Amino acid sequence: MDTNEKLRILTASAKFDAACTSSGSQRRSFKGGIGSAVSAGCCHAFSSDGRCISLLKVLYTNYCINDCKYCVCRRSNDIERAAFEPKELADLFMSFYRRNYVEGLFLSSGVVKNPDYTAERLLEVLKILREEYYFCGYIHVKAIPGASPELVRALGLLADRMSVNIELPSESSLRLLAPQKTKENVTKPMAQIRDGIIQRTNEIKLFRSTPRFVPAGQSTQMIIGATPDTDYQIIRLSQALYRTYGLKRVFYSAYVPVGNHPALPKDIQPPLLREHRLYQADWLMRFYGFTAEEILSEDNSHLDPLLDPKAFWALNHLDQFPVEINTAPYEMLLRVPGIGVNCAKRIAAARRTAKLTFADLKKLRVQLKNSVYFITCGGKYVFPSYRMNHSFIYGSLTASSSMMPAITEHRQLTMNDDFDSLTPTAEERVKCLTGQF
Amino acid sequence: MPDGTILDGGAVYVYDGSYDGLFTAIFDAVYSRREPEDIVSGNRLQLTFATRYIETAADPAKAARVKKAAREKLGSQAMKRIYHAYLSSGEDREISIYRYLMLGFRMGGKANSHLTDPAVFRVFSLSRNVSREADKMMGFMRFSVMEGGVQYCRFSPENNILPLVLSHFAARFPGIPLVIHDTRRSLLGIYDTAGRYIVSAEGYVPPEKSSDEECFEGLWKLFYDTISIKERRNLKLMKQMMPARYFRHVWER
Ligand code: SF4
Ligand code: SF4
Repeated sequence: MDTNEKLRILTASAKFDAACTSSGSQRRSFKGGIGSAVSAGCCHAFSSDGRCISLLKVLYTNYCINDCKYCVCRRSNDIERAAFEPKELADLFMSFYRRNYVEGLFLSSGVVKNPDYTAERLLEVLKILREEYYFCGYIHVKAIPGASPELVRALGLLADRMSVNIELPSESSLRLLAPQKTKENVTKPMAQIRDGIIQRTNEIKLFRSTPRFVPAGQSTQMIIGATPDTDYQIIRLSQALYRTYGLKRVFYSAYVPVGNHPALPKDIQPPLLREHRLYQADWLMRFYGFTAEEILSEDNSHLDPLLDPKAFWALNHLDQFPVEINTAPYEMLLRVPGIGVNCAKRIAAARRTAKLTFADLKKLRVQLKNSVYFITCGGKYVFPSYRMNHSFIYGSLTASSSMMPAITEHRQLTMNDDFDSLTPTAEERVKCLTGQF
Repeated sequence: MPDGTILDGGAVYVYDGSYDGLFTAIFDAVYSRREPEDIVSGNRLQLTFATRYIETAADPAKAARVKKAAREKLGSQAMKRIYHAYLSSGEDREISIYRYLMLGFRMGGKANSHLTDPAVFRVFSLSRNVSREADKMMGFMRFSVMEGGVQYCRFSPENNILPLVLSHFAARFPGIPLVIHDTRRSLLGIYDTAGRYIVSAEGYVPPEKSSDEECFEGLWKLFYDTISIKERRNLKLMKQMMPARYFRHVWER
């Protein structure tokens, strides 16, 4: 079998592993199109400086001794199988890299023979790249569950990032669909990688030249929509993983129906919107200081597909709004829907030298479309304040953007007032428009 | 040339287009005490009446003095920002940089947060625009290996980001000679493994692609086509076609 064939087969199997964000949403704050990484054609990750990089995402082999029901490579699935030679894969990668097709490698694998044998093959690929070709770019490698700690460590010394996939959001789902995998199998290498990273940080204080160990940290992946687990369960688990194992990222991957187990949903479209909302909620937990319990709860256990989770949270906490742009603490600015980290920083910097008006915000390129319901500038709302209730805001946020008046100057305020006095049933009209009746 | 009379319409300083040239023009503007109405590079000159043109000649010593003072007042972040703004294609880049610097000389580092000032804001956005384009471009540029081993890539950027991408790739592929061809400006960025140069591309004919290049392009195309997940792509399309108001019925809540 030539390299061409192998590449085709092993890429086809690798693609379902969403290891890097398959949606553009992670970088472009909340507004990115769903699935744009797919249209970009390769998998992406983030370098330490926050730039997104594209990876050659491929399996070393798609032979597997296991039979995880949700996986294309499962033993019982009848598909074409192939395996690279370590050298062959390394050469292929380098020829892509020097042409700037890719910036790094994402290497995963089915379990062939046994976990240790598989991990050794992966290790060989990494050794050729690092020690023969002196490749110093990004490598993400999967820790094969069940491989010995020595091998996990050796891989960690050569890779930038490692991941162990948790795959399903709860243990009961795991037991049902991935009988050969146990929670222990997943958490053991996770804990080992965590400890390796901590140990390295401690040693570096003592000796200058401690070898690097997984400098870009570890990540994991969860499949969304293959099991009945709720959004609340999922983000609680992510939160626990971030806290307990110091993970850098949890990736969510909308389940693409590839399995035929009776417990798996069939003929569904991958729940991409749900995946997108989960990424947003995850983002809130990592960068905006939200906890899983603030966003969702036992009784309110699913995110609203029509709202981004920050707006969802804000609507459930209207008592904390409006926020006065000129005086609110930075942390509170961050909690305003439509205001991202960069935006909040720009506001915080700009308001030191001048008192900000809505026109100034526009100049600072603050996204007013969503934030306008939650902020005041110098004590003034854009809309008359009696309209600031849950149903009006919900309706406006989920309706088309034409609801939003163009803010050019303060005259807008008066215009809106007039509009309202002429149409006493404005509230009802809004409800009609948004189908709230 | 300066004779002390100030004419209506202010003065337009003309420089040679180089970075040092720009800083020299700024130096001259400051010391001649004649407020510039604009600063333009020679090839953008458009003669209008009632405007006083002041030619400046790039002088590394003068430029260095302005740069040093600017770095002290505004910090090295700002210097990078100014450089990126200079590389932009915004017609008002030079005069915005000048005004940003003047504000910096007056109020020091505080100027960096003075985003409500139009010149400061302009420099920030021009620079952001340039960095963004360079960042994106670095990911999308594709090299071909040519006969003789040189790697060649042709592109046509909005802004003059050739120096930025050239140093990026020279650092990334230390032992590999590179030619990056800006077809919009007809410039070549050359890295010969010893140094980096930017020269005119007039009359340049790139070498032939090496014989196995097609094979690698084919492999890459194969990877690119295989990695996309058709189920995902369909859904994205579907979402575009289906207005949000139908969505609430489709999605489990
Ligand atoms: S290139 Fe990839 S990682 Fe970067 S923003 Fe686009 S989809 Fe996200
Ligand atoms: S062990 Fe990995 S590759 Fe093998 S069936 Fe399970 S998920 Fe698929």
